[in-house]
Amino acid sequence: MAFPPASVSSLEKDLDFEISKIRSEIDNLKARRHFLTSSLLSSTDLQNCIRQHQQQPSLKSSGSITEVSPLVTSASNHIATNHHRIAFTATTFPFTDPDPSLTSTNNNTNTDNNNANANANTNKLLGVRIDICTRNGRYAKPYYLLLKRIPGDGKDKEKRIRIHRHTIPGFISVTDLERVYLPLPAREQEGQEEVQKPWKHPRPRKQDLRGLVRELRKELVAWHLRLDTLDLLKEKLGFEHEGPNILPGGRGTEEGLADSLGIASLSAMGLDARYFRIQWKDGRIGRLRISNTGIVMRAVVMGDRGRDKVLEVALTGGNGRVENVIERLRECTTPSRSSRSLREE
Amino acid sequence: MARPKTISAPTPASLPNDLRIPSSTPSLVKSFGKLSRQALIDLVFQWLDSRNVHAFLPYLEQDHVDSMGDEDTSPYPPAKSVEEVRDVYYDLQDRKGGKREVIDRVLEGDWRHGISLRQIAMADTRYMDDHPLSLRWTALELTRAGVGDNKKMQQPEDFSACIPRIHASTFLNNLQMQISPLVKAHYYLARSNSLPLTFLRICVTDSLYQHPRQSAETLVDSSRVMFVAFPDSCPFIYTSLSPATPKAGPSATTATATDPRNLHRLIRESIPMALSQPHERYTLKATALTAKSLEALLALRGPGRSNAANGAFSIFADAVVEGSPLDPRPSKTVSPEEYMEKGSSNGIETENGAKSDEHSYSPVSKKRKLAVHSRFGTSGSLSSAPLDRFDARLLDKPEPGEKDNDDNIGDVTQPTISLTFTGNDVFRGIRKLTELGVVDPARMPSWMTGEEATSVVAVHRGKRITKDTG
Repeated sequence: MAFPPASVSSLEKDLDFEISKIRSEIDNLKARRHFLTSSLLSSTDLQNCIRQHQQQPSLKSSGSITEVSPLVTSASNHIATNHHRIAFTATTFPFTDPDPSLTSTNNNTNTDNNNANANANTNKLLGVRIDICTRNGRYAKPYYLLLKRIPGDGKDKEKRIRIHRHTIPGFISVTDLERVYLPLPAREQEGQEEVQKPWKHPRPRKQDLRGLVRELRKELVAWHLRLDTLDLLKEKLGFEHEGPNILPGGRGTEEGLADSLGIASLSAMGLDARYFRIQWKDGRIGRLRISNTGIVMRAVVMGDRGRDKVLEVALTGGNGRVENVIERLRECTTPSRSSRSLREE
Repeated sequence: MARPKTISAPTPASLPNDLRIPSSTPSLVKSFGKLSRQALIDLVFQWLDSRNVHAFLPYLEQDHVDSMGDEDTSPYPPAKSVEEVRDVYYDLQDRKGGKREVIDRVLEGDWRHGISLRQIAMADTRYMDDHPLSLRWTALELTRAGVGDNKKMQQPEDFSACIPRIHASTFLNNLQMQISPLVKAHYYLARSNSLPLTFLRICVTDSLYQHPRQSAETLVDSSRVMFVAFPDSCPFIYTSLSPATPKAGPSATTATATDPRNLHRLIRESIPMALSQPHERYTLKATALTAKSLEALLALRGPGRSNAANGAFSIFADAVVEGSPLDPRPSKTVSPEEYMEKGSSNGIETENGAKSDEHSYSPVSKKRKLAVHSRFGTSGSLSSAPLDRFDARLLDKPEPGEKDNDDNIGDVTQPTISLTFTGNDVFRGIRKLTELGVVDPARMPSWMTGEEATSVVAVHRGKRITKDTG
């Protein structure tokens, strides 16, 4: 033994450490096994195989099917959902609100079957899930909308829905979206008198759930694209993209680009990343406004001696895409900077 | 060292950053004494930083020569240069000791000529950053005035929430313009060290037009200080509440029109005006959420996912319902903890530890555990927005079996029951009670799970009543 003789307590500590290490390894292996079994079960080959097997007339008797079914059917359902989520990115699912006050509005007359059935609808929610694929090929946490049906009055057969809960980040205004796409009939707010003379009022606009989801998804995708672009630009400049506002780390080959452009940092202003902030080493500070379509809409560069118009033009010039801002900056800072760089692209 | 007597004329300007109040003011010791020794030393280094030092010049030997006439009883000989002062505090940092020696050194030694308002503001902000539960905050929502009124179909070009783009100094100028006819104020903007927030500290005094001039004490008085926090990228602001019981002392001496509560109200009213621009007016709307913890406010009225998905719906906010669409495992076979771990691999180790304890020790049967999970989701276990106080007002008639048609909700004569829960984290507590079987998870109304994300609710038949529906 190369080690000095260990006391009992340190030996115990070592053992404890080893045990916990082994435990965590077991957990990892279990998770891996789980992962592998479920990918195996949901693989197309296996699913096809089972389906063919089930369709053979000799095995139509239910015995073998029920034996295999729970795991396989859940796997096949799951993989079907996943395919839908990947292909369509906005998918729906049912959800039941566990609030007991919805299922039994009349506390004491719960035994009444008809009543229970009539009220059963109110705690059923329609979930909308939006999946967004990010730059690294992974998916962001899904965004959810949970929609609630509101009881229309007897005359109005149209189904009306409202957003009940959602997980949309605070900088996207769900109330605005709801006001535009899911308008409620005006009489809800204003009173009952127009029931008698509906011709006097404009017909309530139709609710447009597809429009809502389309617009919402557009906003979310645009946001993720802006974040991805920020990462891309940082990578191009050779900044580590671990933390925000980190000064260039001395890393690798690309380090030169940020140096040659004299850029000290690049970061997003706020979580919504609608504005990027560029800081040059000589103290100039630039701010870019990025549109939802990825165009640099506006750029302001302030130096010690006022605005730097040449850089501003370079930032917004060309085709205006934010992805190749760096190339435009490079052209601008090379000695032959002239209006030529504007004509290109 | 008092500044030379100059002619002072009243101006509508804000109180300057470098207005010094005498170091002998007793409450300075108190307000510095709140900080830890390390925080104090950090603060001094911030003052002595080469970029800042011109604003916080310490007392040096050359000042001493100028004021030869005054008898000086200070035990600390003035330093020759800023570097020397810096070295003194490096020594203090290396040495162990109480914070009192640092405070004495600051007040009687290096800043004996007075502590500027900015220094006080920095100390105050630092204290708040170190002690996030020291104040009570209320969340207000910024809304565009006049947008919701016209029912005409108007399609905004983008659906970004109304977050005004502000330039800090323009905003302060506007705020100053709103406030200056009424009170004098000192403003200090700072970025929080730990949270995505910007703090604005406003210290208001009564009008300086009045005579006699107020003592320096009023500039240190904590009841005259109000904090406004601007969270990043969301249409909310948080304001600190005025202390519940205004101190008896100042109200006796000062005029009633300018007691601290009024000053707070005044500032709160002028903030939306200062944020507004022509054709873009904002108003502030109360959101029925008050809490001590800024993290809770950020979770419930912040930029994240959990603003409108709490209680049972927190499983959606934390995205523990299902994995990514590339995950082959059926979602029922994966525990929420696992999804949480994968989502954010950093910083929840402690929670994991607590969780595994729960697995092994708690007597909760599996069935009840599922029921609790279905009601509370992840709130109170994996994620938490700790509310320290929760008020519920029950508008139901107490007689059982009475069928009231719900038109008389607003009836004044109706008796109501009010419940108040207090504690470190009310909803975590209720969850715990449910796990222990004290509360029945199947019949518990949903406001008890924190689903409404408010600290005050009015409840009728298990549902929250808001003013516009009642």
